[in-house]
Amino acid sequence: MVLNAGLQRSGLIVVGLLLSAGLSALLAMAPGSEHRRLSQALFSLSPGDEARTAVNLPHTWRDACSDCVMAWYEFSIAPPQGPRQPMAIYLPGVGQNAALYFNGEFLGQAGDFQGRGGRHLTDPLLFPVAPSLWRVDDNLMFVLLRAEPAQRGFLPSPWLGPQDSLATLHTVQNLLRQAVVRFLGLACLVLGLVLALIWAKRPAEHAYGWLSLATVSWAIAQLSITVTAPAFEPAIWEPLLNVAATAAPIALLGFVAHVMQLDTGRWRRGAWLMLALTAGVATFDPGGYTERVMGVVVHGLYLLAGIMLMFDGWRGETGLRRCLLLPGSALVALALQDFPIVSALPAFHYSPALAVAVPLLLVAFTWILLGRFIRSLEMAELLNIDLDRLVREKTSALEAQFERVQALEREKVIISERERLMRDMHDGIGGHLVSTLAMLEKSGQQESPVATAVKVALDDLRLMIDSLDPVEGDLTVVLAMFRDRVEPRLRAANIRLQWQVEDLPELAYLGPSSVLSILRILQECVTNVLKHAQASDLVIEARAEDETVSIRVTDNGRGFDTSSQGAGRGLKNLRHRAQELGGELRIDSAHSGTTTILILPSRPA
Amino acid sequence: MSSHRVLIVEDQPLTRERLSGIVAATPGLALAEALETFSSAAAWLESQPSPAVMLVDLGLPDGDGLDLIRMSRHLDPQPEVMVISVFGDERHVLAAIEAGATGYLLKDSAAEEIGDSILRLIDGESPISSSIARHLLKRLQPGTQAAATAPGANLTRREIDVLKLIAKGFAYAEIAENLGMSPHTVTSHIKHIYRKLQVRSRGEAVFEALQLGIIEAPR
Repeated sequence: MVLNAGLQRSGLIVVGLLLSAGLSALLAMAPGSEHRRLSQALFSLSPGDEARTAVNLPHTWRDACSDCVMAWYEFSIAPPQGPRQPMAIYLPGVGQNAALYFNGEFLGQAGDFQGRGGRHLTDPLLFPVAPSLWRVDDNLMFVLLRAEPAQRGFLPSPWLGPQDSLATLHTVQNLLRQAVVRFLGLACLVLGLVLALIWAKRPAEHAYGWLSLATVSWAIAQLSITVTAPAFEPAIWEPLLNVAATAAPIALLGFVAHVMQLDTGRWRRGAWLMLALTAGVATFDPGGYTERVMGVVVHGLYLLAGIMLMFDGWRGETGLRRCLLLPGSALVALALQDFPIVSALPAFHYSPALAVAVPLLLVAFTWILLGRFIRSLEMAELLNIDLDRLVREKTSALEAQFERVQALEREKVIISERERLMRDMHDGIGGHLVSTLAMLEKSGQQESPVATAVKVALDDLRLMIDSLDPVEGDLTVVLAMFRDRVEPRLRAANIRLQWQVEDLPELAYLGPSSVLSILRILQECVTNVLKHAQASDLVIEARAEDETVSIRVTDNGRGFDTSSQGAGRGLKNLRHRAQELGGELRIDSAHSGTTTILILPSRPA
Repeated sequence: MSSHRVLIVEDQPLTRERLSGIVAATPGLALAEALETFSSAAAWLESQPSPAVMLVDLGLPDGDGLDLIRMSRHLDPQPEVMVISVFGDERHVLAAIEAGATGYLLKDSAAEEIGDSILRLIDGESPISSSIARHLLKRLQPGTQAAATAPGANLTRREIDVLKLIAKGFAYAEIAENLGMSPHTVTSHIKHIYRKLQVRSRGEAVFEALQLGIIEAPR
């Protein structure tokens, strides 16, 4: 069943929203009710400061001092009730570097307090509190924070609870906010570089370029989450990350615009202008609000990308196109939800869901694009294979044609040679032989041995000429030619000819020389009959048998002794010819007549 | 009934003498003239009443016997033309038939055979050999280009049957029996086929001339 298009669209949006809600719920997972949330503290800008103010957490202290580096929070904690068990303090993410002191004891720290400002934006921190540290009445905890002026100063509510369950929570959150983001960042970097390589080869296909820029930018931008010790001075590190963080959504917008076929020169110019602007602001803004402004701008861009994806998915005619509604709606929902966080409204934990959602989306898009690229490669390969096959077929067809042409050429050579021979013989030897005969006839010697010899020579000449006529494997044609030659002679000798020739199978091996051999054998048989047999009837039969074709010449003459010396030599000659044809010759002679059988193979031996 | 006049054009003296002797000795035939050259024969055909039969050798020293045959087509009445051949091969014979001949003679045939076949030709019976039949079949296959310019030149089914049997070596009488017709019908088929080859060759000539632009197509 195909879903109704409207239903399909709504369904995709609902799924997108559900996914985004699920992701935010995971990220916002808070300790259970058995834990104590420490939501009130005394805040000061330095440990010795007497002017401490009571604040509710989460609290951003950058509002109180734009160029301060340190902040100091003091918590007063009642001892835990119930059975004694190992307790711990859990910080969902402190913005920057933090150090904890409990009843004067140092609990631990995240990041360096001397060198460059560290980053623990979404890094959950866990500090176990040894049971011996607890006092029965009041316990005092200090949280020291350090942030560069360009960074935000921020403290969420710490949680106090059993170490076991907080450790589990810490592990899960660490996995989600750090490991997953790190992994996706690495994937983005690798895929982005692959895309860049493809784009370098195919600069005309902007989709690769946009997505490559988006993924690589993201891979750099996410360092602000995953790297706690910056590699460069903040003056370089912060602008670099900010520019990358802006470049990623700009490039994503470019990609979406390309998908929507809005990818014009104007779009590209706009994107570069925006990047340049961001870079300028990030580099030269000394005020310390850059990060917040950037966060708003970046999230605004992601929101726009989500809206465009939704728009395109909504218009889409194909199912695949409509699927854009899913990432579109998720992106819109998550960007909206993250807005308060990035604009520093202290209502949420500092854990933007886009940090996970965007790389997921980028990886998915890249995967699709690479899949398409690989498919196009495969298509090309298939096309090549097809082409190869075609070429092979054409080649063999050409070869076959060439062979046919060659065969025709050979046949033509034979025919033209035959014509030349006939012309020469006609005007030359043939004419002379005929004249000689006429001369002998004129002088009354037409029956002389010389006249007979001349006739034999003339007959053989005719056989040679006949044998050069292409017969296309048809033995009946050969026999017919023979009949034409021999019948007037038989008629003159008053010998009746019975012609019993069936249709015969094609003998592929019949060429000029084999035809000449057959004609000569038959001629010899008939000549013998004319000369010696004193027959009145001659039967010529031809029929096909299983593997052979037989030609039978039978007369009703007086026969001859096949073993006599004179006959023997002639017969030996005939048999030899028959053997050369791959056949045999059988002669059966009696007083009632002679039968000569020429047996030829149906196929060449 | 008066004897049929026979013209012989043959450059070899011995053959010419022999043929002259045979014609003269055959009852019903009379030798009109025996000539040696193309030019003398052409002049003779122009000046003398047309003979009943012309025996002509193709290889004349001063011209082509085929041209003599073509010339004879314009005479009235048209003589029967036999081409004199040593081998009776299809190259010679078909070219002669295309030019207008209706028969062929083997130079060394026995005297009676020669006289007999001249008389039979006058009677309407054209000789044909199996290989000539085979080449005729090839030449007159329906559907060639010339068929369009000479529609009358296509063989009928019956004619094709006759040619096929001849090509297989059957004699007229055997063919007549096989196809259920009289021997006379078989011979008249042959004559028709010869005429068609002539028409066909003219058709081909016209076709080629049209192709070459030598003549203009009728409008």
